[in-house]
Amino acid sequence: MNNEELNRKILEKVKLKVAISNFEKEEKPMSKQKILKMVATFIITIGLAAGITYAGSAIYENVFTKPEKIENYIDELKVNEEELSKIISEEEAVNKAVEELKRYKIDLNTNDIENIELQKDPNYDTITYVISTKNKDNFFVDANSGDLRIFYIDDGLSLEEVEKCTSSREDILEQAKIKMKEYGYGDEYKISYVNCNNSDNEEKAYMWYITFAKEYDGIFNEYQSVTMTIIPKINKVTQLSIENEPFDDNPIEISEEQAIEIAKEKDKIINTENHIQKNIESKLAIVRVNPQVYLKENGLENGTETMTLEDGRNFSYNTYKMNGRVRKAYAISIFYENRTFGMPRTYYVDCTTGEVIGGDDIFDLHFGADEE
Amino acid sequence: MKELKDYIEKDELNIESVINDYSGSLYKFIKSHSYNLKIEDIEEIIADTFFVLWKNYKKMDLDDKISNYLIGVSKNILFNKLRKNKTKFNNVNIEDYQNIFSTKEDVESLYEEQDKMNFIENIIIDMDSESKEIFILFYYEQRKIKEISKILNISESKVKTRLHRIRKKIKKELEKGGYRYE
Repeated sequence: MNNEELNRKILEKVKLKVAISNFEKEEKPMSKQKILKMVATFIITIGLAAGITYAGSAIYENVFTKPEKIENYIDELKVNEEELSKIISEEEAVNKAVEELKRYKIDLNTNDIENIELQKDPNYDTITYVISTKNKDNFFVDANSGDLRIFYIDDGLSLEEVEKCTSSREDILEQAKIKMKEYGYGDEYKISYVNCNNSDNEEKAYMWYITFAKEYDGIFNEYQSVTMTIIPKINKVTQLSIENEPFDDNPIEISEEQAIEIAKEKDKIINTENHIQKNIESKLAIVRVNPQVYLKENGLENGTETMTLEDGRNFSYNTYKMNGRVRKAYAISIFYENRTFGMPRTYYVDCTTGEVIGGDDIFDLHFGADEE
Repeated sequence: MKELKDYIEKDELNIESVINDYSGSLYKFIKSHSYNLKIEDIEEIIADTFFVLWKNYKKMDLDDKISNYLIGVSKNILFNKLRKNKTKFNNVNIEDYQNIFSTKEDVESLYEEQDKMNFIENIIIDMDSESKEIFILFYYEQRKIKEISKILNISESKVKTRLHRIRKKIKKELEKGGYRYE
């Protein structure tokens, strides 16, 4: 056994031990807590109930609407006759993929196609053709618009070979920018996120994940972005996904201070675990309206359910529609003394209407009565 | 000779660098002192040694020599292992190891929780690879849900649900194994 192999084996073991130790640390204080029933206490503003918001000198329609529950998720996974009549055909989807992939210098040979299936996502109301080839390459085409959404290409390398494909962060970012230019994306796309498969030792990373997002007034919009996985040295893009959601580009009518106050008020209702507030951070962000705050405020659990399929596997899904509008909002993160890993609860306060339009990590990780 | 401070980055121990620098020499050291230990046992001792360092480095002085500490810990772990398996290792003089007790307390704290840790380790090892990866990314690398979802190319809600299930499974198995979980 060589040193490298020994190091890898030991590292794997140590990682697991450290992870378990962290898990245990988290579990001890958490387990003493009794999960409180979440009860809505009051309606926030009359404006919300009336469906309009007064902000500054203008009146804006409310953005947040009551989230729609998906009553029978399994049924909703099926593409019905009406939907089928509206989407493009398999043949059209293949032609679209062939055409769009030229931009990425990928030659999809129709003779190599092994399988085409339709996938519906009831949460986002999307229907997608998934085209798979004999080489296990996959191409996702939006069945409504015909747009290419994602591709996965096999890198054709063994693990030993790919592990040798490393380079510096600067070099890989430069290569990613060159790729974006080659693909025909303009300068409006800027790097908004960088990660790799070995962030503790980037010199050894052989896969880099880079997102290029459009910028609006200095704020990245990841709902209009391109994310790629790129292998250094050979500079091969093995995965690419394209987001192109409509964005309201709504004006800023609410000040940061007002937004913080709104978030603090909301937290008084949401923070039923009585975590002790430590500090608050805020920033403007482009976010998607989501039901998280609404669900917690109304005692509706976290909107996730799990069912056991016939083959015994578990299948988890969100029981609410997630296809909210994309808005400019203040992301107000409230940090607490005693929450898992110091994880904040982030509230999205719409910068035009002042509504809380959603949030991130609103539920504690120990949610749901079934865990008790 | 490297000191603890050479491995501290942003107030945290870069355990991966320590492993890269010292697992080879620890392997040779343990092997030379107990030639009939199985490779898996040696690997386990080395992993435990690094784990003890990770657990205790905040109590140490920044000027402490890393190699001295690691040798001390590994000798103590080895000594405990040999004592436990006295008949099996009767060709080894365990008395040779009894004078190295500078790290004894650190090692003893390892044993207090080791059974439970091994139990959890086996639960995790039996999980599917994606769950294992999520567990490591969340609890070892302390990545955020959003980052895990990007790295594994799965939705955030799937990551959350999976974490929820992992915890639930560990808790259930521990209870089945006779561990009390409040």
